[in-house]
Amino acid sequence: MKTILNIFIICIAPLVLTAQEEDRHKDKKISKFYLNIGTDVHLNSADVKNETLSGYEVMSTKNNLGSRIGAEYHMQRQSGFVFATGIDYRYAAQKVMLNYNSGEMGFSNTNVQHTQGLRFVMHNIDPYVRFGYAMPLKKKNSNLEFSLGAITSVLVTAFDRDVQTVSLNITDNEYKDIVYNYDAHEGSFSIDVAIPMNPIVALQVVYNTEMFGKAFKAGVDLKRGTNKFNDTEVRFYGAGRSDAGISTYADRYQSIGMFIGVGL
Amino acid sequence: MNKWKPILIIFMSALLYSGCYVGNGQKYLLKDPVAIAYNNVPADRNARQVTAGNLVIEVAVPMEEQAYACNFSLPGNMAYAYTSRLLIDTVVDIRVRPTNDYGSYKALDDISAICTFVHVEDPTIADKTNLIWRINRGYYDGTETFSIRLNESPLVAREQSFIIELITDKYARLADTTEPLIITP
Repeated sequence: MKTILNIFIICIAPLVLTAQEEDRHKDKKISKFYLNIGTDVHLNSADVKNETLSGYEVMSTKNNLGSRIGAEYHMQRQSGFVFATGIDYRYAAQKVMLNYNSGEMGFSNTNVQHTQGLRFVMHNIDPYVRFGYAMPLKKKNSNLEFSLGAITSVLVTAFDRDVQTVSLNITDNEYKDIVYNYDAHEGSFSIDVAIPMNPIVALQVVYNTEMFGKAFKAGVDLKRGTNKFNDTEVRFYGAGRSDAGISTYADRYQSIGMFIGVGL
Repeated sequence: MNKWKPILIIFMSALLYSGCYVGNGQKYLLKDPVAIAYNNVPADRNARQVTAGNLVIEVAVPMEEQAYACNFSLPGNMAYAYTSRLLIDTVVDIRVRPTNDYGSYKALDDISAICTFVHVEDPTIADKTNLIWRINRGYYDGTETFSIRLNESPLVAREQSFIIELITDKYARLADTTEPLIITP
């Protein structure tokens, strides 16, 4: 219940803040509220690092789709200066694959394969601000807007799974060998940050216009987190529990997004 | 100042309700044990024989710390934070297997029932159940050491080696074999 209350507070706070702004500068700017919806292509290929002793790439990941919905207060001065603030609810389900091969990881004369997927379901509440410039277009009430924004991404589902161990029958049919264990931190848990939020920078290009008497916009944005999400470390073992290296996954939350917004 | 209040509310709420569960203690990995010493064994290797009652097998179980990146608490989630020393897998059984017939036992039978296990650092721990509990606490840096004594003698003198096995909850077997000795009744 307390969590629901706080999410509610998070959602209405920007609206309260921006409503005050609108009264104060009524005659100098055009203010609008938008309801935004969009999708993000998360670019994950550089988020995985394999540092196994044999050079074998055990961990892999693919690009992935996420989605978002949010509300935004948008203010544009006559000079073209744009200020916007809002909040998005963002969802992404990231996945990394582990493809363990005993022959590649230090066991002799064996070729046992084991595949496992680690899934990270991320629900983010992302308050943001952005500043930019709107370039007028020939069409009435239309412009092309360029802006740079800062997002304070808050993971509402972050948790630590603790160390999980995987063992397989490799050297013996009865007893098992520990082949790897992993420490997966879903969300914003990171060695770099002691609070559960991560900054993200966003570069945005938006086409603003009017459709059916309502403000409408469509745009693309490029985002990049400065800290790590889903910080995960996997330790591999060879024969006799010898060190076979590690693989790490740290989601930089780099994505290309496409979105549309409708004026309220 | 009033206009900043909602921002402050956002930050405070985020701190309180979006934190991580921090259950990450120091992790240790058990390694294969090493049978390191035999008391009362003559220095002459050609005459390496000992009575069963004088044989002491000392076993060292090394532990390797597994350092994982994240191990600190969050301001809004102190209640979850703790530090502990945990084994990656825990010992559930210790077995002793002779490589040849020993008394009424056949080769490779588990003879731990006729053995006394004593923790070297804490000799008050002198049975297998408590020894396993002690190893699993993982309180000592580096190595847990215990000794094994045989409470029964063989029927005849013969060369023996003993396989010391630690079975873990991950169905793993950590084992080492002692050097051969002639065990006399």
